[in-house]
Amino acid sequence: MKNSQLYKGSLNTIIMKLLEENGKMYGYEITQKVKAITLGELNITEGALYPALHKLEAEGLLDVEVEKVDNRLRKYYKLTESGTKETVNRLAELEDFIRNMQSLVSPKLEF
Amino acid sequence: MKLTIAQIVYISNYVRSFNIKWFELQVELTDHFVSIMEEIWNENPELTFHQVKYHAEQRFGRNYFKEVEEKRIKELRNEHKRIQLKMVSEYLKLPKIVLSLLMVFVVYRLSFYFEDIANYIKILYVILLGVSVFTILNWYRYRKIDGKRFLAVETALGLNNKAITFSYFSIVLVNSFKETAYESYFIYFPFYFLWVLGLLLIITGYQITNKVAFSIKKQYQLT
Repeated sequence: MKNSQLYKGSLNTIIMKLLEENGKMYGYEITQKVKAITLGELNITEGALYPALHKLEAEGLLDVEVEKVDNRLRKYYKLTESGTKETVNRLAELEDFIRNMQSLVSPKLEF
Repeated sequence: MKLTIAQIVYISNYVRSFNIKWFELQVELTDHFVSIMEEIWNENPELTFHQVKYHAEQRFGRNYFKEVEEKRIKELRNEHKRIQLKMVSEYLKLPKIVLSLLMVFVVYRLSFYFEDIANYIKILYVILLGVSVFTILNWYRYRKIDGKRFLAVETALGLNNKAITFSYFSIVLVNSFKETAYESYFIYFPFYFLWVLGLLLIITGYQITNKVAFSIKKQYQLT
């Protein structure tokens, strides 16, 4: 993942936001979607993606559905009811963080 | 370009060659790897299957297979421990705590009928070991679902080992102060608490295993 230290803390929120918008998604689809949205700037590795998905599933924020697609089984993730509520909280937290960072990086000086 | 069934089976075996024995991870990693291959093949239709596989390997990285499994094991262990702790703590809150304390009292009161309390405690823990046989039967029942092994079930089954270890150490411990404290009823009280706790661990471990197995069967539409 590009600038991994900066993005690491936000990966779960990014996944939840994508699932909120797209309903259900599978691992590869998430990596491709992130790549497309960021125009290739952000590349989520499998080593980071699946542990994050599994952690969210363990926390009860994601649910799993398995379907047969193109001659193979595919595991889809979708937000649970508590996952949907948590997405709102985490996005608000992330927005606050971005705002604060913005203020710190390029402060508007007042005289 | 889509992979054929035979090619998907080949990739599935390739994933398994990294000692990924759990079906849910095999499914997920195979699908991911095949998706990468299909993307590469769409962009370069002139490549052969093995060339595409080679490029996918370069992109995926050989270390990720085991890394994903290791992190998943850690996550599941934590999750199941957390659920069990939550379930056990429910027995230590009103109204269930009344039942738990009553059980401790009954076990304590029964000790009055035994001359050698250390022996009585050993019997209690042997009974606990006996009860944990149900968890072993559960392990036998769910260690493979439809011929497939699931990491989530295996980790949940691991919860049941606690009571067995618990019983073993209690028997060893009670032997060590048999000589010095046999005249006091109260000194054995922690064993009664631990016995009830052990029983709660068996009950909750059993419930969690069944719940996880049921959820796996539902997700993968297995019988």
